[in-house]
Amino acid sequence: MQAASTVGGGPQQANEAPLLVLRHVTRRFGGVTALNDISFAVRSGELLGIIGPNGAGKSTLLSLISGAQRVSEGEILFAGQRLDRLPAHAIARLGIGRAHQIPRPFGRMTVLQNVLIPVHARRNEDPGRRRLSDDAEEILRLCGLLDRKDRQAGSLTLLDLKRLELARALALRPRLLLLDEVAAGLVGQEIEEITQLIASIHARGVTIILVEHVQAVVRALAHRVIVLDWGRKIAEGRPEEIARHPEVIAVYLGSEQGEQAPAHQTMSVSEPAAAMAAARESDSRHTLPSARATSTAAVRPSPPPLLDVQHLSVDYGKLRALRSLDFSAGTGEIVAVVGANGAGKTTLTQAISGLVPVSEGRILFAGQEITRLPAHQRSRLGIALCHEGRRLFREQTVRENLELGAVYATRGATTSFAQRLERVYDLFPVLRERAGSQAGRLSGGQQQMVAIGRALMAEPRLLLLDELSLGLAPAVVDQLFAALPQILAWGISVVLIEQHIQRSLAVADRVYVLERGRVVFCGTPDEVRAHPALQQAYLGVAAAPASPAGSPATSEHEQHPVSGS
Amino acid sequence: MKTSPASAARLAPAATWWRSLSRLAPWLGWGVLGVLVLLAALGPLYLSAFDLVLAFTLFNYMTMAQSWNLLGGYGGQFSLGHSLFVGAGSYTIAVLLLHSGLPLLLDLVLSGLLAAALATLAALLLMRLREAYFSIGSLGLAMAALTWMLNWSFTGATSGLNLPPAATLDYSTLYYLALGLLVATTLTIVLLVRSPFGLRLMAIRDDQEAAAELGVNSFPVKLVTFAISAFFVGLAGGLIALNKLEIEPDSAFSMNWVITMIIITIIGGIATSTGPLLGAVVFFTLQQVLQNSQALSSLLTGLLLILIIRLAPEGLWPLALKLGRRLGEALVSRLDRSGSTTTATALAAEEAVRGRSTLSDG
Repeated sequence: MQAASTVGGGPQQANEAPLLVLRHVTRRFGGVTALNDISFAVRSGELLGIIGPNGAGKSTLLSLISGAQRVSEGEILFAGQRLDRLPAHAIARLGIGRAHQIPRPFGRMTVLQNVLIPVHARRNEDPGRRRLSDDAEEILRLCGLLDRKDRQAGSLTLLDLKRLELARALALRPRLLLLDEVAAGLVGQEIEEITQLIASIHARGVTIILVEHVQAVVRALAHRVIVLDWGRKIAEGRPEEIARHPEVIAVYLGSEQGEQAPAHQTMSVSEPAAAMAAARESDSRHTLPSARATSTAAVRPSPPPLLDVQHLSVDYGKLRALRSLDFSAGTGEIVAVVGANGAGKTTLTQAISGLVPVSEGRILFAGQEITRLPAHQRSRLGIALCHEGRRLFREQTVRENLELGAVYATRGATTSFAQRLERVYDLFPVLRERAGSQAGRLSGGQQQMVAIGRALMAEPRLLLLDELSLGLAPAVVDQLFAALPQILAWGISVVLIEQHIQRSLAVADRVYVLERGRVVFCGTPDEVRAHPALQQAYLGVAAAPASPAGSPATSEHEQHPVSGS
Repeated sequence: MKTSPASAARLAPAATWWRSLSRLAPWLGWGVLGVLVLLAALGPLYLSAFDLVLAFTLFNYMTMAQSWNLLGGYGGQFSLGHSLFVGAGSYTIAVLLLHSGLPLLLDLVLSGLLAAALATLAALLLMRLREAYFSIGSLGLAMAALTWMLNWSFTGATSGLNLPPAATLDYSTLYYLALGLLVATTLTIVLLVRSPFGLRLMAIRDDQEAAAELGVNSFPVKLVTFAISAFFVGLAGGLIALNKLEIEPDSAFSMNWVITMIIITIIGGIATSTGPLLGAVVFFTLQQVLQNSQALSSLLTGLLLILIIRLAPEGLWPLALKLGRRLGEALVSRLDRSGSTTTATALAAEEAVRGRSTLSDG
């Protein structure tokens, strides 16, 4: 009861007027539209889920509501009051609390002090200092942090940091709580704990907007779900409806899995796939060791793979991002890595290219152990990484970017600089036209071409493409995918991370499905399509139309009813 | 058999004694501080005039480092422009003594207030800047002020000002003024950083955006902090002018002031309230012991700074606390172990006897 009075927010009226209203909200970053004409309303006491793939604009949406970012167009109303002109601290004092995806503790302060900040911010009711610190302790008890209240916030574990994020947001005595991926990075029991915590907060009458990738959490909690893709709202409904919604499935898994996929999407998917297949037959297929044949029998291609990752574990502080992961890529192969956000895809590419330290396991490249080699030496050996977000030298021209890529060419490169430049220009003719332009002024797709071109200028043996098509228009994505066979023909192996699942399945020789830092499935694209692991990894459900057999998760559960302990 | 309870009773107090000591540690700290202040307050009774001047300078260093630490340490605003406030304080008191006829103490307070007012104006310009940009911006303002003062004929341009003979104070008065200012500064800052205001300041330092989303309006917090920090530095600047009696821009607005504040704070312990005091003692001792070889003094200070940043980046005071705690715990566990070893040997002997008996039984 007492906790309810602490956390419950203002007087609870069961009126019909919505608590939060968004009208035609648009947010642009430069030329990129992160959110496009979003409208929805949240009733008082509701728990609304927001889902969508990477880069859909979910966190941006929360930032607009909390005032961390400004709307470009449209308006946001909270209890009838305009929010979009208020500074963040004023919005917080109105009773809107936000818990961040990546915890942002005040690291050099104690846990209690962290919670006292928002408690003090509620100036409107000021019943004396003693009451306030009681409030803070009550909230810490609710969040299970009371016994750690005098610890430095920076020394907490990830789960406790997530709890602290929640506790701080709750300490504002919010009427509206914005939760951004509170379950991300947590495992098993921890997810259940945080789900229960959210449910108990909601039971106290707090309205909640929940952005979440861990679908189990959304399905367990949300009354209603809004799906964002590309900054647009594409669906809205009850969680069960959303999980069956064809467009939503198409967004997550590509259109082939959806039953009534929109025509244009089917086109854009099948076209490069066909081009791929044709190209494969014509020039590269016969030169390759038949990866496709071997991979049906075993996970590893016949010896020796160009890249061999054994029992790899990577930690970010207390968070284990990769767990004893095995991975390999053969010469002339395209290996696709798929999995939901936070599955460890980017971490894998960074571990291979030497940008994050390896905790356990080994990485072999062309028979040489490179586990402890610094990144620049790996690139001299022929590993090139195209970052998510590209990281171009924005002030330099296209040609200068390409030249810089060639400075540290792979040892024993067989082609001259001029040849390689010509090759890149042939691959992406638009780069030849715009060679003198500043890279930062190109469109997103052209920048991605520069990034790939820059990586190719070193004449690598292995090209790691992290989120090849993220944030790009379908037509541009087609061009990029059309370039892959040519790259393969130069004898370069490709590791492809791509959120358009169907596209990557269409071009890949083998596919790895990652879930929370582990490989949960590996096989040919056809095997992956037939296997429930993919839907499990993305949607948290195994109700795949293409899976007659029971999902591994449920069958495992039946065999070990007490495994949950 | 009989020894074990006896030894436990004899040795248990070591641990409990230590535990109660560490619980009393804050009070102990205040006690030590009180004794030190009392000793300092009686300083003129046993210190020579020369020592009084040295102590005066040391106190000013402490005050200035303490004030810089409020903004730079607790607030995370790494100012390189605090020399501006030293100079502003020095010149204000000089101008007021020469032209106004107001009482000296009021002049002193006004010198602090003018520095605070300048800081408020500077803050309006600088507070939109973050991190390195803020530092460079503040440095730019201080250099602009120096250039202005070098050319302003009203304050004597490059030749500066001489304070009127009436402003000459005896050494013990100067000593008490500096000591009083130091105590006032330290108390104010200690109380401030323990208040909700201080929490907000540290939250802004750790993550300004997250703080805003928890209802903290960063602008007034930073503005007030900047003004308070400058106020005390301005007062110290006024005292320095009263001691030197003749001031000129190059020394009053010298970059050395802010560098000294930063070095002292980092040596002693940034974002701690005792660190700047300890750092000032270390820095000032090095400076005085090696005053005949300036180069060696600078070299050693630099070396000390590098060592601290490499080995104990949190500074000497946190390091001393950590070592003290570890030493105390080690001592207690040593005492306990010597106690428990006798217990253990007794038990072991007993067990051995029993074991043998069971063996023989078997």
